[in-house]
Amino acid sequence: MTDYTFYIAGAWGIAAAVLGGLALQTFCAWRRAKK
Amino acid sequence: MITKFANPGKFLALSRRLMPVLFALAALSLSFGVYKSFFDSPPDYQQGETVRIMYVHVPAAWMALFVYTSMAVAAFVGLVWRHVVAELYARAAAPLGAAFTLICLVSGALWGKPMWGAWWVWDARLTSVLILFFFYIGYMALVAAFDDEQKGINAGAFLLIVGMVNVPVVKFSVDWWNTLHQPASLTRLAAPSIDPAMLTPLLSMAAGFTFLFGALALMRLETEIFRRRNQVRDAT
Repeated sequence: MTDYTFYIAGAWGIAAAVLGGLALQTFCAWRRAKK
Repeated sequence: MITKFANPGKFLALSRRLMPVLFALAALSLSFGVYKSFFDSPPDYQQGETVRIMYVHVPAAWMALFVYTSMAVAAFVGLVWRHVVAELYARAAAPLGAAFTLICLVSGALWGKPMWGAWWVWDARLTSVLILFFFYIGYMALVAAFDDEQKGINAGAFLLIVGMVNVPVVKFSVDWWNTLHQPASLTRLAAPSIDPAMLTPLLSMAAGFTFLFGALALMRLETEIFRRRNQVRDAT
């Protein structure tokens, strides 16, 4: 059976990284603007 | 009600109440969706475990189209009625829409390589989604290129409205052309062809992405409003 772990982890990892990074950037910009 | 929330102050009051609720709903839906995707859904009889990529790829694709459409509608409302919050919404939502489109493209490539043997093919669905991504990036670049903020918003609004022609192309590409990408499994007119064991995590992740988008879009909109207020405050 072929191991697809790399592809599955890659897809979910990219999604988590992109959304997590964007959420962090959004929060930091919001905090800065609110001051 | 729409005109009521054209007032940034009233909008901020609504946003303050809505944002924590949306974040909480996003956390719940995404947790449930991730659990169901990995621990409580079967492997596909043809694709095996790679079907789990579907639970992030398809919701991201839905969000890519939904966010662009909402931006174009807001841009139209902003142009026609000079609705302040609507004008700022498109600029706030654009990075989120671009992010979902990027996730769709990258997860699609990671799904395509083991299944089709290719990271990328120039079929109608993939190409039109790539064009959608270019529209997002182009919009952000266009709006940022103007020194006069209002001119940038207006130019960007026209680009968004023109780019709406691509949305039905993306949606119906798998019907109009002979594509490698598979046709839709969920349509409004027929019962889903997908098993409930797979439909549940798919819809949970879609709900989670939607709530997360809502929360982050509100936060970015608030940032835009605060930024404008700070500009006025600093100028006086």
